[in-house]
Amino acid sequence: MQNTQAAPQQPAQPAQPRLTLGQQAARGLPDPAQEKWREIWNLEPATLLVLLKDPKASLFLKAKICQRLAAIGTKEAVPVLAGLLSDPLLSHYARFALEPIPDPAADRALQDAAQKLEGPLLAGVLNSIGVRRDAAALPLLARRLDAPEPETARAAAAALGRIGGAQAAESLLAALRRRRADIRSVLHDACLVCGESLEAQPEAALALYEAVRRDQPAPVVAEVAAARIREREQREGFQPIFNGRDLEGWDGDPRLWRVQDGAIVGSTEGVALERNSFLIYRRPLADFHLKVETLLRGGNSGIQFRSEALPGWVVRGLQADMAAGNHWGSIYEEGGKRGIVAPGWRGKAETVVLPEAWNDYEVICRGELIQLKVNGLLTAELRDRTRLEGVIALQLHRGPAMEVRFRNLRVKPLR
Amino acid sequence: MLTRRSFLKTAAPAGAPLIVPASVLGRNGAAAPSDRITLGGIGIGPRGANVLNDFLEQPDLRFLAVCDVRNERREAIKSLADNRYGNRDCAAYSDMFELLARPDIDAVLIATGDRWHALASIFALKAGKDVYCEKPCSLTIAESRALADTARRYRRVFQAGTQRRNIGNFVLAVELARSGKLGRLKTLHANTLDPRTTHDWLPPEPAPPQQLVDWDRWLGPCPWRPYNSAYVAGRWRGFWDLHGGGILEWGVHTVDLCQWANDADRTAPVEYSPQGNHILCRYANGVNLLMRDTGWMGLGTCSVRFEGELGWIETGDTGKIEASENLRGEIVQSRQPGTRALPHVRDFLDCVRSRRQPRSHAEATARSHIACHAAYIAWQLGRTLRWDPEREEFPGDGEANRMRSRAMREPWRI
Repeated sequence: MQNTQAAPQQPAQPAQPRLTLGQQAARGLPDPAQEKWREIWNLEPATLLVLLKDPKASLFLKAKICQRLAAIGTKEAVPVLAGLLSDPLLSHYARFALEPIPDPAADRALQDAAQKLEGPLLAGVLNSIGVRRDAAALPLLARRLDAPEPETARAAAAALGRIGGAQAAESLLAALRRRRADIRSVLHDACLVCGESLEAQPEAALALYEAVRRDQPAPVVAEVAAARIREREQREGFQPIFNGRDLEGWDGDPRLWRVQDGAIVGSTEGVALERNSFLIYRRPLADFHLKVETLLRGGNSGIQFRSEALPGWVVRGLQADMAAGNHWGSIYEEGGKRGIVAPGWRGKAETVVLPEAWNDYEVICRGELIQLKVNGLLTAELRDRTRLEGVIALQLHRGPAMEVRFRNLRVKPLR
Repeated sequence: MLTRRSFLKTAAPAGAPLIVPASVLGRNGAAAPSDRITLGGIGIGPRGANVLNDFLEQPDLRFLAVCDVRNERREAIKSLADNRYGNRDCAAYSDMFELLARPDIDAVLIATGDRWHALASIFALKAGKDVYCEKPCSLTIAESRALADTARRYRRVFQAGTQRRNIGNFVLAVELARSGKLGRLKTLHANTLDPRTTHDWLPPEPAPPQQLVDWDRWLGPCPWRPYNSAYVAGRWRGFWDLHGGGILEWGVHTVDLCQWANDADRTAPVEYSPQGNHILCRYANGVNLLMRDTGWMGLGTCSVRFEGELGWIETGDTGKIEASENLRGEIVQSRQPGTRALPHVRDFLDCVRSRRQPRSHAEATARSHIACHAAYIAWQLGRTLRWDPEREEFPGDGEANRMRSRAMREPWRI
């Protein structure tokens, strides 16, 4: 990279005590007697290409020509370099030159190679596509996410993350849903990187982070995803309605409800309920977006909304329902005659609910339109004008002993 | 039992201050086992062993594992730790991913050759480890950017091994500059070395068996070259593929101190003019930065000199300080050697607990490394370059921009 003609390489300053040869050797400074590379650095690009094509040229010569072309190669160099991409010893050197060549011919050469190569050389090519942020390669990368070779799929995921944008995010989300174990951690990282490119599309970024958080990632990734979700939700106007310490603002039978490990815990253990009992958030809400995480161990529970609170912790109105192995994602009328008003279990919530684990539940009410989401999936939609404002409440069902937990309850008022 | 580790990882949002009361330290200052910070080491050679000894002196630290692609070094560091603890518990790996996969390790010391610094740090950060990484932390501008971005993204504590940010004489000089005692700053001087590197290869030698030296892993992301025992014996400096040359070698210490003195931890000079082995740089605020390998007062290696309208100060690794007459009253001679890592190690460990960022945090480190890389690129091209610290590019200079990164050998990537 040294332009010996243009640059006075020797210090223009007065002579100084130079390092002795022994000190130079200890530091590994270059031995001026060698310097074979300098000749190569002084050659014109056209000459370099002739030498690079010469079958008699040594590995050293070809390697150094590629490194020189990294700085000065043009589109004329691309076909010669492309021909080296399948050579195990020179493939990296070819990418060394191709990666920084600004001409789109370099993108096309890498795309072509990505169709033909396999194994580590393919991974290298996909990495270079990612470095160049070649958006034209997005469909190719999306296909390579399914490559049987884990390193290929990982390289494709990383490249998608680097290129970023909504299309890459869709491909990464689809790959997450396939739950392939051998690429998971790279996929999580790619989603975090990709999310940073989606500043202008906060919903898409949020979907990525939530999908990562739900994929049971490593603790550090879970922490990062949760922090990103929190930041975005706060920016959008979500406010916590449970403080994580006590039941301030909530009202329920003290024998049934407590706070433990930052979560609301409802349990009917040792208490025979005569009827369903509710923990009621006393502030009535009309149009809102509610998000909670919930963990159900047996039995039946649910989240009331736009409901009417009656004496004795009894509530009636619409409910986002859940039960062990059933009813998740459905709208049910508590204390009314309609029963399940909008089913959301079969073919919907049943495909995404993790049994005996934390699940995300969302209730969105805007005018007469009511929507439920379980783990990000829309499971029920209803137009209903019966009651446009009311309380939120958490249910414990009578019957066999059961336990349900809720945490991270937050609400954003709509309109 | 709620251990310190699980508590930090679950209860404390990163960035939020968390005070660990002194009462967690038991009698004689010894920490309860559950409250010790656990450390792993990657690529611990002579300098690494030096820094590791400073870690081992800390009562609240436990060293659990070492990784090296060289069997000899692996065993040497295992013996060092085992002798210290009187057991045989230190695990030894040749694959850093095995070490990084251990959930019981909080932090890692990375002291490989320069070619691995950025990549190993990035892997460690992604694995949730806090990182103390020897310098220079990158071979390219792109590596420095990726390293700082990863530390931010993963909310980890990162400390570069630029320990002079915690050595008395250097800190005093920086404080005089920052407090305005020198007046408006005019020129900052950073001691750098001969920038020369070579693209040549050493003559090939037969590579030893993989379990003794894993040559492929030793090279890591760098271009393949034939094995020669001199490289793995530590004589890899001066080879362009493996080393950033003399500007990076000392500049990441001295330019870093100038950046700090100029309150420029989140920017870099905007112009770089090579004049022989000297690079004259200019900040957007008009302050000059001169990287030079000659003309120093003899106060030791890695000298810096800050000149303002009201006075000047110069200091180096001897700890000795020279200053203009009007500043003599401000000078306290500390005489700590500039190579001593102990206070820097302590700063890092305190931050692992508090989740604050230490003196040589990832972003400040990236910026001073980038200034050195930009200077080295200007020197290689032999012409003045302009730099945009916001967009991190050389405006309108395609050739220089192409030198900001290097393709990594498969399967490695940042």
